[in-house]
Amino acid sequence: MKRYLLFLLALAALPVFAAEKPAGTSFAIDAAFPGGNILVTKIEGDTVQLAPDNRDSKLPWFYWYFRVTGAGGRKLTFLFIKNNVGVRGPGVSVDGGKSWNWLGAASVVDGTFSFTFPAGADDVRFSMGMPYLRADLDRCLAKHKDNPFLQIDTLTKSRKGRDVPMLRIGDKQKKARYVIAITCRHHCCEMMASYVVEGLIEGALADDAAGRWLRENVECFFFPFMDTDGVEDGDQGKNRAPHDHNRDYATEPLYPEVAALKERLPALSKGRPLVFLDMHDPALRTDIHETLHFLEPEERDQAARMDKLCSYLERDQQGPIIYRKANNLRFGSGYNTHVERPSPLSAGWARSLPNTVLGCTIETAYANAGGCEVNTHSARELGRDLAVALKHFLQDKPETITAK
Amino acid sequence: MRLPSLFILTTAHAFVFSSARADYVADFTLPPKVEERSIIGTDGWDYRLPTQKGDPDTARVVSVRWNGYKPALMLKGANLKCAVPPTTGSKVIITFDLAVTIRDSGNGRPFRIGFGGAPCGELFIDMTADGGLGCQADGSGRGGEIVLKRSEVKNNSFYHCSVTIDYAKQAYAISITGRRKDDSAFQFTTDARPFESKSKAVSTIYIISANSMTAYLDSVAIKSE
Repeated sequence: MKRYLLFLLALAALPVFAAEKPAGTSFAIDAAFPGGNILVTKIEGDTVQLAPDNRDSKLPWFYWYFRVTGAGGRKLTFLFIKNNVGVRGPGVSVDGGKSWNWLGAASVVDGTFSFTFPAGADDVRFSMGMPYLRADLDRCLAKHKDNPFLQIDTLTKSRKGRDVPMLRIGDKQKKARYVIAITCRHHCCEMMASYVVEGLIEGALADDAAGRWLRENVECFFFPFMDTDGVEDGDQGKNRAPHDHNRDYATEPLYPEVAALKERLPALSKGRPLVFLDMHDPALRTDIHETLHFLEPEERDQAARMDKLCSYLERDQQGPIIYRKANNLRFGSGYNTHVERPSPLSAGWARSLPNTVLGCTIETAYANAGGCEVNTHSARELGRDLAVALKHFLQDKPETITAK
Repeated sequence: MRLPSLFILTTAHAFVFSSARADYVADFTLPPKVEERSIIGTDGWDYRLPTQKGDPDTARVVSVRWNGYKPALMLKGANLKCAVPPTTGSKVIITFDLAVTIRDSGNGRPFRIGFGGAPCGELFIDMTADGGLGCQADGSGRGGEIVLKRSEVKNNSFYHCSVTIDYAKQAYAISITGRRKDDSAFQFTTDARPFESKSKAVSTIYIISANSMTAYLDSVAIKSE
């Protein structure tokens, strides 16, 4: 049995649920699909005790994603520890992972939630988030397959031989003045950031003022899956041993995605002013982890530029996630304290390139951003807002902005 | 999707509407209003109270992405007034479209809009636990009636608001239509409600908006018979 495949059958249904599904009918829980991750530790009747499969992560982490089949018409109760379920409950998909909704905060008590499966529902997915995989990116890109401004390329091959996608958006006939590089999933579990990236892609391709300006003036590179194997295999990725993908930049990289980015991005940017944004999700709950925030760079000029970008985002945002600059994490506070040189972090490495005008990390909360629901729609809209803010930011010639 | 003007019009109302004349119209698509620019200093709009640091970006005309890029006035922390030509008819119809982006929770009334000389009270967003979209508040930021609970307000979706004031009969009626969060249709209408006021004309628009939410205003019209 593959290590990510845990397939258990529950044969006995409690009499109290007999009206919903005849006792003795089986259901199955598994994670044998892209992104799947679950450990089923116990099944008693219609109550299932579960936990994330931590795999090679050095610290306990909270990513899980499982499928229930054969439970149509039945009510099941799932038990996790509290810290493994987010503040709006689990993500639920009744169409095989194509669309997602939060079950709702009221549905969860101390990590326990119940779900009544619609009659005939034969593939219901549950996750701590709203999983985003290569197939989701492909669905997005399929809408633009004839767009002459989009070029789908391969950055490299992953350790397991998968193609690592790289997208290029811009007018191939022109040499753009600026370069934007967007990376995501250095921590493969942080899937909500992928919807933001998808919104950025849509924004760069949009037939609106921001999209047209970006295509005219910027060459955009997207590296959506910096831990491609981890995304598809359903790993935690965060704190992976011996170090994770976003701690792989200081010396000779362990991971082919990082090695390829370090080699290719300087060549792709050709000395043009570069904006580098590394997209993440923070922890699952509490405090700053329930906000949208940028991590301020240590370098004062870059911090001033980030502040400018954030001012535009705050002013121009039209999506459902209300962003406030005040939520940004200043350098030296909270967990934004990395001072190692050379930096092991992607954004820190990017800032060390001579042509980088801004390199920073953006953290999008998994489910709750300051009282605004983060979901597939609102996260994509945040990406659209970021595209607009980037346009205004670059129109300001950020290379001329210095700290006062 | 933005609803067409669904507010209920009786046959008599329809007749009145068709014979009404526009005293003030602002759809934010026409000059002198310019996209990506502040509304301050344009077409009678000015600060009611200076905003923090005098930020002109708190009231801007923008293309609204979620509304087919149609321009609207975006408000974030603006305290505005707009002097309009005083209405001259005995019956006045005020219409406008309002959309908001709000959080799950909050406090106070981060958005209020009122019309000087219109004795119908303010329309507002109340973010307290029992709050929501309301109307008929007095000018102090209190009172009024919640017509759509906060949890049912649909973000980024225009609510069409209409107030008909009959100064001769000293009565007004309010209609608000739009969508609930679950996308079902929402409609609120009042019967004619009496008022006592010496006012005979609408002469100003005022808006108080906090920066804890975003509001969009479109298609403001004040017409009189």
